[in-house]
Amino acid sequence: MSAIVDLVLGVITSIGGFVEAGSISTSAQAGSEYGFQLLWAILVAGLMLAMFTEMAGRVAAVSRRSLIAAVRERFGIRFQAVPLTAELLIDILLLAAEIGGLAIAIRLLTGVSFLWWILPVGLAVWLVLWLCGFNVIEYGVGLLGLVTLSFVAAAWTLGPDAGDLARGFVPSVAHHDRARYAFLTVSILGATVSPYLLNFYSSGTIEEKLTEKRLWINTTTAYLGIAFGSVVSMGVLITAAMVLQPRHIVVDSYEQAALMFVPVFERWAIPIFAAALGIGCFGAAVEITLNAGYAFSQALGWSWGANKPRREAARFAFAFSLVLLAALAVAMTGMDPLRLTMISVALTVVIMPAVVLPFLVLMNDDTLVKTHTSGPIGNGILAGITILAGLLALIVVPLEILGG
Amino acid sequence: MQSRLDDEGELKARQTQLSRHACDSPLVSMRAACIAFAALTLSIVGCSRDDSRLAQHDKKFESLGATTAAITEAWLAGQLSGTYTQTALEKTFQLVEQERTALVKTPQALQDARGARLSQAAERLSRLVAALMLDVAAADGDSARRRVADIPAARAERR
Repeated sequence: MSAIVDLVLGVITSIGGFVEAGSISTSAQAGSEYGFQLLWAILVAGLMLAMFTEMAGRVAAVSRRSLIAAVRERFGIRFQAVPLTAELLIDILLLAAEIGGLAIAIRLLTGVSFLWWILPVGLAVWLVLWLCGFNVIEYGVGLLGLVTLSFVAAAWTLGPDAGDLARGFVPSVAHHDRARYAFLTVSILGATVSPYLLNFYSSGTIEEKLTEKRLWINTTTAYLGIAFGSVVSMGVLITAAMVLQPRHIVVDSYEQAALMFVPVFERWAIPIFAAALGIGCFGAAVEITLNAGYAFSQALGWSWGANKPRREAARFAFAFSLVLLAALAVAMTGMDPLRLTMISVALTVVIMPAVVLPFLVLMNDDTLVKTHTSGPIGNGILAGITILAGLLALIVVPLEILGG
Repeated sequence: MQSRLDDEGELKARQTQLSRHACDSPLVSMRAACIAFAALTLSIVGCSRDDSRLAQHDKKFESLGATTAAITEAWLAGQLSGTYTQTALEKTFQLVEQERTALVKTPQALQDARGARLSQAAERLSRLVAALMLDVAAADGDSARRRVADIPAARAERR
């Protein structure tokens, strides 16, 4: 019974925690500029994320090591130093974008400049991390995040044509602005397969004491939760495609994106959009900050855990507080949160090969995953994704210049 | 001394002769053709880059005009609060100004007739958004309704 409860909660929190600044902005831009044409990109990115999440959880459940700890042990801190530093820097940018996204959500409701909300939002994130244990953070944020299902409700109400939707799942070439189309494709990938999610998930597996015997919960949560989560992202794209594209509105700000709810929710459109954006961003901000604490502590061998009293994991708490402060400083510069999000997701793609490559080794190391090593098909797909990640890392910066 | 001057004169004469031969040679005609072709390609690429840049600005202004219309119409229909409408129009105004600044960054854009027309339309949109903000603040629906009809959103209109 407890396993079923764990599974249901896991899937629900995966759905609620899936949508954040990155997925809302990339999906809304894709829908408003290319209609349903980029639905396939969300599907592919979701499949990739589910696959990596399952592997990260498998490593953690079997070896009792988080992803970062396993990489450090297998490759050494020297190999890990550069990608980990890059990942932490990108996490700071992403965190600043999420904090900015939440501040914008409050601005949509109050009209007060988003810069005034940056510090209160930062304080709220820090208080949640300081006062709450892992389950409260994960389930609380995930359950609140269910408000993002409003995107699916909106898409459903608008009643898209099934044939048009089906065509969107077939990869195709854009009829206009091909560089922009390619940039958005890569951005959707970067927004979905965020490195912080993988380590957060593996650390969470350890925090929740998931064992080898219950690996099926890990597999089901990863695939089912992310599948449903991807449906929410698709809801954003479909709603933007049906409401904004016919009016030739291209999303350059969250204020424009919010208009996609008006035909469906009318007077409630802006409050619902603000709630979905705000809660999505808040959840992601809490997870990124917590993951920064995990990353520092696991790489340097410090005591860590959201469930531990803070005095027993003082350096862990110091690390996440420090990263939060750095992100607040970035957010306070006043840079547009949507622009910051797009830069962060593009940079995520740059470091993706360094994130993906270790999986090829870890998943074949039987001292780590025992009998749960990947088979030839899994390895083949992983190798393919690694090559693809390398290619995307090379082209993402030129694409950002040409189509960003 | 005299013999050195003679040598230099001979050298110059030979150089002139050589360069004259060189100009007549097929190799140089080929080089000239290559240079002309490169210049033509560069100018075509330059023109198409300008075209694509103008098209991008055009698309952005069209989007911002449509955004302004959508916000105002929803406000007039009572679907948006005055607070949100003000906030959204303010953001739209900022984006129009950003785009205008980007458009006029290169003087060539304004020398081009399409660029100049685009800049004028953008300025008009900017003023219109500012006026709409005042209308919303004053809750003057009639004035806002009249202004929405003036939004230079349609691309066809500018063509």
